[in-house]
Amino acid sequence: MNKYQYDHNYNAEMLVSPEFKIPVMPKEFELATAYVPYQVMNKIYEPMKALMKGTIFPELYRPYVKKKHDR
Amino acid sequence: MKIDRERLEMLKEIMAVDFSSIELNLYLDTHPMDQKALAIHNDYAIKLMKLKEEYQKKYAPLTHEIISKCPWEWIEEPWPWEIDYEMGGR
Repeated sequence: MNKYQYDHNYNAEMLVSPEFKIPVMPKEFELATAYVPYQVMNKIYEPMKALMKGTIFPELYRPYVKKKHDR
Repeated sequence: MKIDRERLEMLKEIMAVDFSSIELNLYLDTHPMDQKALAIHNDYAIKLMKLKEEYQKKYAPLTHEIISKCPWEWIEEPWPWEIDYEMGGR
């Protein structure tokens, strides 16, 4: 078994400053392992829309949207 | 640089279909068995060939690979960066 089992019951508040929280990931995500889920094509944008959005795959369209509390 | 609206629309269509074809190319590189993607890619390839042929016959060369009349058509106006793509509005 992976001896570096990610210890989930740490106290997040204790480790970080108030405005920065460490996101706790599910157990199966091991430290230092990169994941790229296998993509299966479903729907695609029609060409003109795809050109504007920068991808034909709706699932890959992730524009940088400034969140409210971003300084 | 002003080009007529019809030529601009065709140029944008070529850009869009070309972009989509490249996207499918990248997807097919890792999903060579995806027949649905392959069919769409081949559709776009045919559409692209027709559009480019028509554009180049009617307006100007898109690449240097042309049988050019004299004078050399490739340096004909406008260059891509001289075109006002927003003329037709987004």
